[in-house]
Amino acid sequence: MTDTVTVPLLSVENLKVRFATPEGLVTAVDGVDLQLGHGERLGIVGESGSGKSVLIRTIMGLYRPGDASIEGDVVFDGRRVLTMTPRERRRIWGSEIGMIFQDPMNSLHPITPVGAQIAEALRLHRGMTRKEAAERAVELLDLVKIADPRRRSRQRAHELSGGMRQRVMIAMAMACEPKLLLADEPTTALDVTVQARILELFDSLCGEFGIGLILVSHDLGVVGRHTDRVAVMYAGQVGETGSVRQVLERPTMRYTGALLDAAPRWGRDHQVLPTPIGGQPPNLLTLGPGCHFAPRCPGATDRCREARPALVAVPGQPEHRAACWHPIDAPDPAEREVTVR
Amino acid sequence: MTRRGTEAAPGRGAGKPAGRRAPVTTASPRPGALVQIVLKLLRLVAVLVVVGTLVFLSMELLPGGPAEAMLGVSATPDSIAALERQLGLDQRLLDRYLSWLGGVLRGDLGQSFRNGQDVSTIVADRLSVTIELVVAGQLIALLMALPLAMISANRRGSVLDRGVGLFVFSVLSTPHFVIGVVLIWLLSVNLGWLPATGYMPISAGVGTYLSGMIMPAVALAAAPFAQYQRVLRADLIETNNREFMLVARAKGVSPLRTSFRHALRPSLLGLSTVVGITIGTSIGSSVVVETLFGLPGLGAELVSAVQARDYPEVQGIVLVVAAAFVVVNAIVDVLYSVIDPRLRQRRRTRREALT
Repeated sequence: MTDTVTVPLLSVENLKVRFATPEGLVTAVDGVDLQLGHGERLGIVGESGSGKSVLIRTIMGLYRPGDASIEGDVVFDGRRVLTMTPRERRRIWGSEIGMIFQDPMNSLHPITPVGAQIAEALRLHRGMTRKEAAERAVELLDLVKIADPRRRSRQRAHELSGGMRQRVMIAMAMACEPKLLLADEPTTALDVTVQARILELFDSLCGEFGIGLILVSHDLGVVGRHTDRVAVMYAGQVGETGSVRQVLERPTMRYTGALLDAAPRWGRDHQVLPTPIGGQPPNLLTLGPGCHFAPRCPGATDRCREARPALVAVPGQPEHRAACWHPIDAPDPAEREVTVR
Repeated sequence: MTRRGTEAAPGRGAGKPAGRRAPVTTASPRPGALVQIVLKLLRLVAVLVVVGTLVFLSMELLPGGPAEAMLGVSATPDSIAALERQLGLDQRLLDRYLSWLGGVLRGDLGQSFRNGQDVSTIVADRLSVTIELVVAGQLIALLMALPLAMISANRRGSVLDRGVGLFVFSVLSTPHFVIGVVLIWLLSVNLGWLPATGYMPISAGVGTYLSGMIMPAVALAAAPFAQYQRVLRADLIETNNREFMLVARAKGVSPLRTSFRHALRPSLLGLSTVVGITIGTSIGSSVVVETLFGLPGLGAELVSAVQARDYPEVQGIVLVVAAAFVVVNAIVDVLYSVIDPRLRQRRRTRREALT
């Protein structure tokens, strides 16, 4: 984490993504800056509607010109994704950037055997023959720890469990050994025991192959255990970012604090009950001039409602930045639990 | 007995059906495969009996009889009575029905009133022309509907999609005989490219054969084409919105390949159902098209047989058409599980749950 990479694998600069809806223009991503080094793992956390999925789909370049209006810059491995032609994008999709979707039940083709689905990318990007690709697909299924991979590769999605399907998706995204893996809530649709195993699989694969990972989740706990850095998103903006330790142990922006308090945790010898965040995620059509979280923030003042705080470095903590007029004063974690409950 | 057979054969081997009472030792057939075939055959027989009975009775209800039709204006009550006796029409309705049914069950469709030929021979002679016509029509309809549906679905809402939609709707709302007449007027009368009527067997040369076949086939293909395009377009749009299509894109698969290799097959179930039904109605439409273009097919024969009140011929032809309809739909049934193997699985489990 301390080693500095000269050219980042991915850098996102002042990205804005707007969608035209019948009700008006919606800014789903509003001025996001991100950096990701080779082999680094970044978690993006936020409630639904915070722009996480739109952000990573834009990073990949999945939106067509008519779908959204995009400003800013996405530079992947020295190339600007947003100005690429469709053909250039297709060349990096599945070969240099792999993507894993939320719902493994619907992301696999219903009729094609899973082995052939994995093999497709290999034949497309690596020019393998049908036989070579099928053979490699079996190896990949083995790599993602599916038992009896040869038999499984000939089966179809409906014959596999949810966890196995997500493993297949991972094998598919990993097939061409991409430099960057984008995972959009990869475990949300799975039950908890399966979740843990899938995330462990991410850990080992990314470590083994030096793949950069962006893990999108609404679960701060999941992100904390399986990434190096975290960015907390709220209403299309990054509210706080830093290393996992910095953000989870010393949350500075009040939304991060509220998000942590909303998750059930166990104290050393007493249970800390979760405190839900009041109100609803903001309507992106009617955002005020101030901090977007102000309407739901118990500590909000007039200043919060009038002007938007900038994302600035937290004093004494390099790389830890937060956007809050009234930052939570770095309390001791144990002390924090006491003050909350 | 057959039922006991299924229960005793839980294996899923793909071997040939074993002998009737052979113990299930090695590769047993898929449970119920044999039962399915037997049930389908029974259903075919049931449909034919019902259709045959209805046709038999409806012929009876038609005003006039074969004797009047044959003798024409010179008919006297005496000559009519004599001819009816000769044709066996003086017997009671029930007796005639039973003897006809008995003949049918033995595979004998009776003899034509008009020339005494075996109805089965007449049908066999003319069936091939109708089959050629229907198959050609279906091929044209599918070959046009497939690309146009894919273009429309992929460019949904575009000018192109709306243009295709307009064309499809106008074709759908034009009766096939009008299309036939317009084709004759355009291609035969005005341009003189194709003969207006007449049938040349394929032995007369492929070009000659096609020049006689192409207009009737297009006229017969028009309405099915429009239906197929609409059904497939709707199913493709639904498939395009499924997440696995986005996954395919994110894999770097080109749009052309995604629409052929990923979208098409899951979208074919609706189409195959409609094809099954349409082939049946196509045989019906061929009556008009064959008459219009002077093709010596089953449809044209049926028209003249009805006009002559040639009961055995009408009954025979209708029976063959009904059988074809049932058989085509049985084939479509099998096709479902070829298109989507999940259906095979589901049916199998449902059957297992029932036993």
